[in-house]
Amino acid sequence: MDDVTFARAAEEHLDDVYGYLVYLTRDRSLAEELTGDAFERALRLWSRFDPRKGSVKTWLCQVARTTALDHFRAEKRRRRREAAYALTEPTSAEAPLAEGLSPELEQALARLSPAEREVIALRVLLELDGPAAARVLGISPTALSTRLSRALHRLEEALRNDVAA
Amino acid sequence: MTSQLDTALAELRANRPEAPDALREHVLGLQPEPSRRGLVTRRRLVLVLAAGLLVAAVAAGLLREERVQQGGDETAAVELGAPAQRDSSAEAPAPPTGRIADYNAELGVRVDDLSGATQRAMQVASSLGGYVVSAQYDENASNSLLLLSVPIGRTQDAIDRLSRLGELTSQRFSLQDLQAVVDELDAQADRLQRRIASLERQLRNAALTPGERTALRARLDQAEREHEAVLAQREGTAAQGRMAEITVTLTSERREAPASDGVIGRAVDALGTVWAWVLAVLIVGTPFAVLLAAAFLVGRRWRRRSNERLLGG
Repeated sequence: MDDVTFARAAEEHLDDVYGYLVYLTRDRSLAEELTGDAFERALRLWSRFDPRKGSVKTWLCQVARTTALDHFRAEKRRRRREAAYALTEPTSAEAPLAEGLSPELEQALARLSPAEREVIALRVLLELDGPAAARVLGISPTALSTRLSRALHRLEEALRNDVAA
Repeated sequence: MTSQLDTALAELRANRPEAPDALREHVLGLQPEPSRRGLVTRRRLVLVLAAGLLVAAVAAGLLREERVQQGGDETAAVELGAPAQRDSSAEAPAPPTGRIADYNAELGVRVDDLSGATQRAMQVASSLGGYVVSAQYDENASNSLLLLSVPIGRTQDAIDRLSRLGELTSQRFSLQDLQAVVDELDAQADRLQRRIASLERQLRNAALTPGERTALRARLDQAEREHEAVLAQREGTAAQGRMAEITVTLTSERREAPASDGVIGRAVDALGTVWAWVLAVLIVGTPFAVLLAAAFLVGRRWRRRSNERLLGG
């Protein structure tokens, strides 16, 4: 692990970080912007990355999450100043999360909260194991398991409702 | 897990979002800073700093100890109450020659035979032309306290002989120049003498009325009284300057903790002092550290909750 370079980490995990942020924000252009910011931040903090504490993918996701939360917080403050803003309403929700997703799945994902989407992104999309995903979210593996189970249950419910409708 | 959910998850995996080319180009174009890993990590820096501080503290303790030991002999005149070196005699500052000065010395001497040493100390004073001002000695006590007065010219001799009664444990000297006081008193006496002579001349005038004569005589009496007082004060001050006072404390108690000799011994002593400081800092700093830690934990918990709320979790 000692010979992991930032360039190699960026090349290998750019899609992971981008995908995670797309699911978290449900806004591809915002995710793109945040991904760039996250990698710039990761570059500045690269000397602090310790491979003994976890994989580079986990670490990059942690950096990405912090970047996104900082953005949400700043946005919330800005919107509060401008009055009335719902975080769950993305600015460009019309664009699909990813090419090739069925409209039903898109719709079902839209009904989930960002927290539920992000746990699905980490565990399903990025295929992080339980402890690594828990580390990214700053929660215990047990809490992560509960959150994932609830998110999947809600996704299933949303899909079922869509089909019924 | 139902087949519908399985299908959905498979669909998610199969359609992972891919970073746009522009983003890929931007991120892959980022140049890493020169890696500082392997040189000095923050943890190593803290360890090195802590070790450096410890070494510096021990070294400072050693140097301080060294200075105190040297100062005990070399700067006896200014090192008040400094412990004297074992088996050495005190080296008292010489009284100024040709000037009147108030000279005081305090000596602490550890002796084996308290009674014999007390007798010899008193003999030292008398043999040098001085006397014992006061003496406190109790057969059952382990200390005796003597106040000796010796001619100022014999002070060094007296101190030398007294410090050889046993092991010198402390020494303290004070020297105050009294010449300026005596000179001022001399000047006052001269002025009064001249006034008295003037008043006496005026009184010899036969043309004075009885009233004027009475007033002049009263002024003459007053001037003579003042002159006598100044002369007495001058004599007292001069007498004070002729004799030195030496306070000698003789003790037969053993030293409780002998000072460590050698570099290693002094290093151990200095380390002990450092640890005492470390302990004191810990005692004082622990409540603050606990408060800080609690504030940190509460802050982290609050931040997590804030994050959860932000993400609607």
